[in-house]
Amino acid sequence: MRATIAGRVEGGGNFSAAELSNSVEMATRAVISGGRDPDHDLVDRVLGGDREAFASLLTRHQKKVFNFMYRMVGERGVAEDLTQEVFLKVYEALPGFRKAATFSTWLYRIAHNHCLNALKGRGREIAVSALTKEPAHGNPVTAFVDPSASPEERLEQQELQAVVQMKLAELTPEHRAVLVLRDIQGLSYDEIAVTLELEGGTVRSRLHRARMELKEKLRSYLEL
Amino acid sequence: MQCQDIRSQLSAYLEGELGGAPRRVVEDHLRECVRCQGELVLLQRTIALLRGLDELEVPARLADAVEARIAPRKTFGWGRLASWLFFPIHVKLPIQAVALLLVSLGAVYLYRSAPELSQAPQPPVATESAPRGEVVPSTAAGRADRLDRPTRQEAAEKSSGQREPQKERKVPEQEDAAARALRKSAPESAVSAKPAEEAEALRERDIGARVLRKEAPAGATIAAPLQDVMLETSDPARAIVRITEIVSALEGKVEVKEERHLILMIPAKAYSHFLTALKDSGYAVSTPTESPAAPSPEGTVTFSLRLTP
Repeated sequence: MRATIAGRVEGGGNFSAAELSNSVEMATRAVISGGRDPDHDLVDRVLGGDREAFASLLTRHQKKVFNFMYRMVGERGVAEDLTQEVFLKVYEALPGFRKAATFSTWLYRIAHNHCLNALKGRGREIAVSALTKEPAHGNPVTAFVDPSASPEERLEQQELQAVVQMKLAELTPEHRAVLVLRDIQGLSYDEIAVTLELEGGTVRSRLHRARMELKEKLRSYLEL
Repeated sequence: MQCQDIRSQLSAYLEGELGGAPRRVVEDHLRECVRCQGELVLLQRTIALLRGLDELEVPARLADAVEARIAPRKTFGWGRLASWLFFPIHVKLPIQAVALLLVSLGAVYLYRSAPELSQAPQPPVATESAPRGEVVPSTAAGRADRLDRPTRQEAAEKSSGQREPQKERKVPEQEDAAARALRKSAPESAVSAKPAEEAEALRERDIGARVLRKEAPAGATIAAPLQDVMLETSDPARAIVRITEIVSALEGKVEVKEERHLILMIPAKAYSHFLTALKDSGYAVSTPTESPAAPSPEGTVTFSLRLTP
């Protein structure tokens, strides 16, 4: 998948707006499909004292929370700590979960708020760490580069991934969050609005500004 | 439309959110504007780069670490409640023990500071000489309390306004002789004695009551506080001799507490005879009531007799 997208980018971005839109919507529907949130049953079981049910919730959602945190803070270790703290908060706050939204959206809201608080508390440390991080071998992102690519392509992909992460870190947390939620994690506008506690129109305008800002930061790399 | 306006809609255009006329306007402009076409491509590449960032695998230890940090917090429901109540034990139990101790001390303090709480309710003693319907409190404190404050039933009746007139008239009748003596002793003493002497007399009367209570035979109860019978005499010794004679004739007992203070115990039925005999002997006698205090279960009445100059 990554090689395909990279090829398209290098080839001039030859995918249609409809294709992009459909793929994003598919991801969105995957998050909220089914009408009834299957996580609500797990929540009920957790509240009834079933610790295994919480382990199930953790298993189902830890990956997206961890990746959200990683894209927000740019440090794997920090992301891991924050993810742990988010699930501890979720466990404590679970009796107050009223099931008005999906568990996933509620979880994202807790993760987002916790992340912003953490960035305020140790923002300078995280920002400096992310900005100064060299796009060198050992960056976790490089572990997911397409192994079938040639060594030159792999090096380019590794460096480009690292650059994207660096440029993301230069955005404000608010712009970074909306990009991560929409373009990386594939949430719908409605889910993002609930997560960020914003109006739908505000989500759209913020997303546009964030994309345009990141585009300008990546311009020199994108025009190669 | 200007390029800037078109570019502000590129994100929505890529999301497929533009329909109809707005979408045609953007597409018409893009066909003619090379620079805006370039911006659209850059924006597509930016989004593609973001979507192309693969997910990181979660460290295997993350779930275990969360579980380990949650474990001490126990579970929800009763287990959580029990945890909240008792854990950590080395903190919660001492706090609970201290709280229990404070509550206990508070209860004891309240019990001691509130007389009505320290008086165990006792059934009224009905006697053959007591007026019908008379209720005799078992202690002086209870009697005084009863005089000072209406009973709950009386209070309820007063508040409801449904108390019958007959009952209202009966209240003073139900106040026994000793109670009335307590109430009236102040004005009467004010006429004949100084306040200090009155206080002393009350103290002595209390002492006498306690002495008699202590010396009473096992099982005997003092049904009423001592009341003073006043006898005027200039020769206490002679008066005591005469009083002893009369009491002996009535099969009573005399205890000389002081030179002018006697404690007498005589059959209740002989009380009026006793007073008559004293008057017949030439003594001026004043009694707080016409009838004696409520007798004991044995049928005797105990009272205090003071010899005044």
